[in-house]
Amino acid sequence: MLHKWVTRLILTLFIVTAAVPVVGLVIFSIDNEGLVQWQSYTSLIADPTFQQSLVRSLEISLLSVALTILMITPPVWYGFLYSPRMLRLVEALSFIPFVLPAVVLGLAYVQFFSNPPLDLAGTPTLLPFAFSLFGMPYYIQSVLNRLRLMEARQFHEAAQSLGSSAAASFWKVQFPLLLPGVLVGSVLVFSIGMGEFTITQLTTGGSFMTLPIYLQVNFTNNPLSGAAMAVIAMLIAIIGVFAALGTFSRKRNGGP
Amino acid sequence: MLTIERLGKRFATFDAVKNFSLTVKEGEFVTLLGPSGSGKSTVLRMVAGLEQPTSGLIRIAGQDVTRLPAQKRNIGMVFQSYALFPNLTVRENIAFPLRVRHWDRTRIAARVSELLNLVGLEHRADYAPAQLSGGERQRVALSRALAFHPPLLLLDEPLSALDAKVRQTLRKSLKEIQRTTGVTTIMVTHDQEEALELSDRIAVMAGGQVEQVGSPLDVYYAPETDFAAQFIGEINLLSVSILASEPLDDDHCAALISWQGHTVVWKMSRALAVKGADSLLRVRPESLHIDRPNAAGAVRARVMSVTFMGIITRLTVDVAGARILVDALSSTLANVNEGSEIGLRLVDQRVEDSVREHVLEAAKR
Repeated sequence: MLHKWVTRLILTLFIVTAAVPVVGLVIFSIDNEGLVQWQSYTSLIADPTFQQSLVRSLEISLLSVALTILMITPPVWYGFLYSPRMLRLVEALSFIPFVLPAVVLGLAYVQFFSNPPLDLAGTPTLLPFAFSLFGMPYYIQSVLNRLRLMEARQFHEAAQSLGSSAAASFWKVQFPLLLPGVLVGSVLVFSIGMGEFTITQLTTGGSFMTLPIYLQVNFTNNPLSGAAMAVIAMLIAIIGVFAALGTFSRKRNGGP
Repeated sequence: MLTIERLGKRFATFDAVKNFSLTVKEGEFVTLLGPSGSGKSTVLRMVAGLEQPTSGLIRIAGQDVTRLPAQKRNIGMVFQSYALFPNLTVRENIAFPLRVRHWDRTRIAARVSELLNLVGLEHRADYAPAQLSGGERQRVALSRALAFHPPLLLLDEPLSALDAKVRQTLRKSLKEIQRTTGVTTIMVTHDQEEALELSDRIAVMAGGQVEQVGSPLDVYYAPETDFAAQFIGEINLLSVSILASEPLDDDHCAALISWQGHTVVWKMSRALAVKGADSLLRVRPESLHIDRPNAAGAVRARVMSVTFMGIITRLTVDVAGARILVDALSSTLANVNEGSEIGLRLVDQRVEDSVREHVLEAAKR
């Protein structure tokens, strides 16, 4: 009985603290002296700059996710099974971007990529790489957790003893089992992509309008439309998280 | 079929397997029996190709496979935890080795239903492994390992994760399946009963080495080392004198022995049966039969303790100051309590009556 009430109290506090600023923002965005008005949303959605920046942010984020999955999953899996020492080193190094301020990486990129042959500063080419790098510690941890949980070695050995090559073992058995970890890691990388401001600002010099850049510019000019925009960004994040969680629990309860 | 020569495996500074040699014949069921850490699983994993030996050779059907990767060895293996792929159904699990071998669809379907039929799991074909009981998972793992007609089947503690009742049933069906398919099998276990019941031959292992290889009866009744004797059940060491002996085959003879004045014909190794010599004989507790206290020719003993263990009752008795264990069928034991006086006789059921008479005749001459 007591535990039931304590549980409820914790949940209530959690939801209230998380929701108060959000609710405030939602009210601010639709309040017209006591009347509900959607004008800030409709005008925002109709704004071609907004549409473009939304599409760009989605593109860059999805690209970052794809890049992360393709570049990081196989080496982590390989290290886990065949080279634990290499994996420990990679894991340790992956925490550097975690503590590294974005502004440092941004400046480093600008410096390094401003000269031929890699004259990429001012273009968005570097962004997926930067977001991948920033998401890497989260992604590696979430894949590693899954690898440890799913007893990857045992399944790999079984697959091999049944005549499967390492690649076939990876694609037919390991990757499907890794998916929940890949998804959680991807959501984290995706959200970094959707919200990153510093590096985008530094490497593109503000010329490439992503959602956070648009939000910043817009909020300064028009707080109401900025608030509407923040609410939309939040909705995207919430939908993303629930979509990921949904897929993952279906996987877990799978079967007829 | 399988030849293992002087196999060794060193992990950092620890020798897990030392100088292990074994030959397995076509269709044979051989068990590596030993406690955990005896190196038995490491040997199995090296045969499977999941572990690289530090030294030695492994040959399958004459071909040296020592450096061949696991996926090219064409060996079926059942893992201790079964390792059924959780993302695939029972049917897909069994089809997996056939799919990676690029069998055509109809052939795969036919083979899978044949196997499901063999292990009696047709009704579970579309279940996920997580929805099966332990025994069912074990049978799926066995089907999957047999699907591609491997010439060699490896079983790593295949029954250890199951409860006692299921284990009994599966032991029988495992033996049956092995007989019908005729697949050469190597099993690893620490369970002596399992080894004795299933195997054609047993290799008792300790400290990375083979202690003894032999038929279940030999390993049980004629253990060659202290370890082999102690690991499989209880054993008594009786000091006997050899009165006469008659050879039975190249290694064994039937010896007339005397223990505390009680004479009996015993099957033993020819090397030990030197006429006139004293010897320490390893005798299982159930090879001592209880007689009346004053029965002619029986050894007198005093009962020190009586422990009822179900089918058998174990007595600890005192024979001329030595502690001896005696197992009797509980149903045959009446009026035996602590402090009782009893008579004891040695019985070696491995010696046929005709041989016994022959040895006794020869000794009289």
